[in-house]
Amino acid sequence: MATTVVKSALQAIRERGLRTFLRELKDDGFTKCFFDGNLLQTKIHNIGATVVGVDKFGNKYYEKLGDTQAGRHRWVEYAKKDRYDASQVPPEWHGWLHFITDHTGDELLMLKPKRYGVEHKENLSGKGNEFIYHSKGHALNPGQRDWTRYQSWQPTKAE
Amino acid sequence: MAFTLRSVKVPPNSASLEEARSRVFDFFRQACRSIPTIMDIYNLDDVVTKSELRSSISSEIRKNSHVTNPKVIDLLLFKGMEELNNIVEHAKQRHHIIGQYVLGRQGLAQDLDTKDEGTSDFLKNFYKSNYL
Amino acid sequence: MGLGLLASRTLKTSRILSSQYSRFRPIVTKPGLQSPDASAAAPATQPEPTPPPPKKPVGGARFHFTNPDDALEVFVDGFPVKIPKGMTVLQACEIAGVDIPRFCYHSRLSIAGNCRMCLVEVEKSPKPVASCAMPALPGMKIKTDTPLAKKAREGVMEFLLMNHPLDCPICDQGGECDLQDQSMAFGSDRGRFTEMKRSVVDKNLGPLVKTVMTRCIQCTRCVRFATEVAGVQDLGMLGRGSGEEIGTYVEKLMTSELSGNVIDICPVGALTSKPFAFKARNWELKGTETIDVTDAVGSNIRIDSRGPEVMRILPRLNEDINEEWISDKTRFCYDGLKRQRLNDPMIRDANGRFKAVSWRDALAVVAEVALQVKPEEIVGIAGKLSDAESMMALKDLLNNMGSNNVWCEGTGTSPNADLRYRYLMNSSIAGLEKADVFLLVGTQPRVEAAMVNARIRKTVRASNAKVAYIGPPTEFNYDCQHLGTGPQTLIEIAEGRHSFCSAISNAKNPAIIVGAGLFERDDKDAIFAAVEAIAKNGNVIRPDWNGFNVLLLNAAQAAALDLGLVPESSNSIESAKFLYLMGADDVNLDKVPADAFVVYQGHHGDQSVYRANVILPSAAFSEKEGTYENTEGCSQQTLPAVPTVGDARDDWKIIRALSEVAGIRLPYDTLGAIRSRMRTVAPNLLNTDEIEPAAFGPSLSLDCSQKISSTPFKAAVENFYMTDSITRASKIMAQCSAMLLKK
Repeated sequence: MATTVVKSALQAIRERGLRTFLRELKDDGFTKCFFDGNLLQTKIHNIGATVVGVDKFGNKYYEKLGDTQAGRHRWVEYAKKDRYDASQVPPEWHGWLHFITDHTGDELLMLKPKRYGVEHKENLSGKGNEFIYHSKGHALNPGQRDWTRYQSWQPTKAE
Repeated sequence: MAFTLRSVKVPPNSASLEEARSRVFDFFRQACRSIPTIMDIYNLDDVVTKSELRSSISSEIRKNSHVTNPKVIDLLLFKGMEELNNIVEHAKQRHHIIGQYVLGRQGLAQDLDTKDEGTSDFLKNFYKSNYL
Repeated sequence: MGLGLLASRTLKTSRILSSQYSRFRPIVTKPGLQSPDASAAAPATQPEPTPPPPKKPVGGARFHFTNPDDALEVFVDGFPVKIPKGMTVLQACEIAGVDIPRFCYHSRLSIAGNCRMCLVEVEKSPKPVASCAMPALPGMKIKTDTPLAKKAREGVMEFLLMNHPLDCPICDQGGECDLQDQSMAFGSDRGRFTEMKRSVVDKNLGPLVKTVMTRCIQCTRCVRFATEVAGVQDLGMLGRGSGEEIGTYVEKLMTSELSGNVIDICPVGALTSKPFAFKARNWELKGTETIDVTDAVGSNIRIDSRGPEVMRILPRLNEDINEEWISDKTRFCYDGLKRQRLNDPMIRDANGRFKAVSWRDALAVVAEVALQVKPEEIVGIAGKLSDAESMMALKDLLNNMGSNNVWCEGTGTSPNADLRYRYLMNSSIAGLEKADVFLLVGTQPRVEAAMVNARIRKTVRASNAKVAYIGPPTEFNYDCQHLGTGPQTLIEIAEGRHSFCSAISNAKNPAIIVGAGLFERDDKDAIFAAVEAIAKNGNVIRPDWNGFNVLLLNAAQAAALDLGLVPESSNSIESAKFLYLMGADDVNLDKVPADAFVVYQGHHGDQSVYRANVILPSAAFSEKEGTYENTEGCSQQTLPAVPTVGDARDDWKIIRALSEVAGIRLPYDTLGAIRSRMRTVAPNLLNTDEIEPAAFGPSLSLDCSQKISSTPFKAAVENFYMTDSITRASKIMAQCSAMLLKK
């Protein structure tokens, strides 16, 4: 297995040049692996697994059947390498990832209502007041409803 | 967060007025110490300052300055503790705090100062609202 | 137990035996109807059951016997009623206090008799009769709640509901719908109709009336209203049978200034208000009975509000002023109350920009400037929407400052406030119905006061009264003789050289209506002298009939003149250094010196705001209590329907507060106190809902040195839909003037 990895790496260098290869390595988060054991383990896990799909945020969904332990044969590699958490998985992939369904997210995306389906937003709790979700009446909600029932005259329109 | 306050418990009855008095000061100190937390959890920074909150706490306490019976003081202290606990535990909402402690009894008319000396009640009410 | 069971069994058998004859009795709830033959057969033997006290007439129905001999007696449900001759059965029932269900009948419209809902049983008549179209005959025995009448109405209701969509939950009429209400009483709980319902294409009647023609039940009330009251031949009935629909014959909009009333008279949701569509349900609304101020008629209205916003305006019954109609301007101006509002006191800074300030600062600035200028350089102008209280306060304030230059806009430079009959409609609006010849001088009642115009049209229809008109060419919705365009014609009539003079002198009750637009003319005294000459020659003013009328334009005018808001010098505005505008937006401010300090107190950012140095926000008519005197001298009070917006204050309070800041404190703190001050000036303003007739001697002041200029009369109102700051701010009114007034 290790030889196939090395072989494919060498092939990639040959095809695209060393610099491009290194940049791709960096973009894929391999440099981060050395400080982030989680990511490193995922990367090791990825070897030999099939990519089932990529969602619109860039999260990659892997599956490896066969010699993997049951219940650990589906996983995600997050698009963000530095700051990732489970809420970045959009709902259409959630079911597949958690073995609720065997339909992949790309298939389930067809079922998403066009007219009123909203974009998936990750949970930004703890990221600061300007990011986190505020309910409708919250004092910090930027989109607070305007209860003034009249339109005031604007002096700026005068001149 | 600041759930570190002592939970409300009935303190032993104050034996004398002095003891009750010292308890009141203890309570005041405790309340003042929780002001930063309160400002933080209710987002009060843009509407009030710490010293204003402090003075509104002290004025709430001074409202009962005529009370001399230690038993009554104990009861009022208990109620004050309860109120403080509710506030610190976020059992209230922002507008409660603003209504009760920031605006106080004067309502929205904040700038009541010596300018209105000698004016009639009509004018004072006129400045406050159309419906007085 | 055994005994009891036995007893009950015997009782049961005996009851079965006894009730064999009445097995097929009708199932009705009224106990008296359960055995009709018994009550009919034995009235003599049984003592007469004490009749319930006679009911009150429905809805306060009024009638009077012109001739006592014409009275006839009919019996409604057994009670004798005396009614005048010529009344219909339905009217007789109303006087007897029995409300007959109806759809097509409307007391102010002609009788159609096509809905058949008002069927009643009349003794010795083979079939139920449509009570709205049947004249009452002496001794007629009318039965309104017999099984026959009920069955007939149920049948009619079933047919009406057959083709009526069941969309009450999304219908704007839901909750105040005649069909809905009456189907509660006469509707079946299930339908037997299984075929497809009919559907009708909706018509476009313009920006005010929304149509859902599938809901129409062909009562033709709207058609009759349009042709009879509004006087436009726009609506009609097309087709026959199930293809019958209401529509404009060709694709066109309904161009009437009264078109909104078809919304009220439509018994179903076929015609509803377009601006109000899907905005609120009627049971959420709070009604406030108040007065309209968009013209000088003072129509009685009900403002329906939800929370802080006015949702709609409906007419209120007042036989003397607006009957039960209101003009479209009155009905649909309400969205202007929510736009362009002034909500904070503002001061213009050195850069010419407005800055919101507190009341304390604003009043301090105004008071400081007011005390610096010379008293004769202070000028105050009240706006056309001002109430009497605030005008009183304004006049007192300026008088205390030493200035007497205060007037109300629209009254001209030197109004004649001494003779009250010279600015009032002396024959009263309802009194116009007695007139048989009208002479309209420089007034176009259709745009100046639509309700007065409706009254004239009613008179013309009822008695073929003759109408003549002097003024610029305009449209009338009744036959009108256009005599001329300028004062030349007026002089000819005054000097007896015109052919119309004979019509006036032959008339029994001639009425001359002079437009208030003439107040603005320089030769107004001469014109009034000419009109009074006509009045004298034609014997227009008699003890029993006063046909000399002035049709005012604005709600504030009559009260302003009553309170004596008359400027001391006619050109004071050119030398003004301190100008106080109390909602005056139609004043020509070009002549105001550049260094003059202008205070604008008002509720809308309209025309005058841009010249103002200080803006003081005040309350609109829907937000304050105030007295308004209409053109016939009837003073009425508004009531606040909604709270004021932002930091605005009542008009009189602002002036009172300003007086105190300026150090000349006015002696009233409450509305009651200011009214008692008004009592000393014009006591008639406090007698609300009463017409105070103008007292005048027969010797009219005819002496006048002015020369009449030959300039023709101008139209006083250019755009019916936009006359004041509220209507100019309204989007609906802007739509109307764009679509309906083809320029």
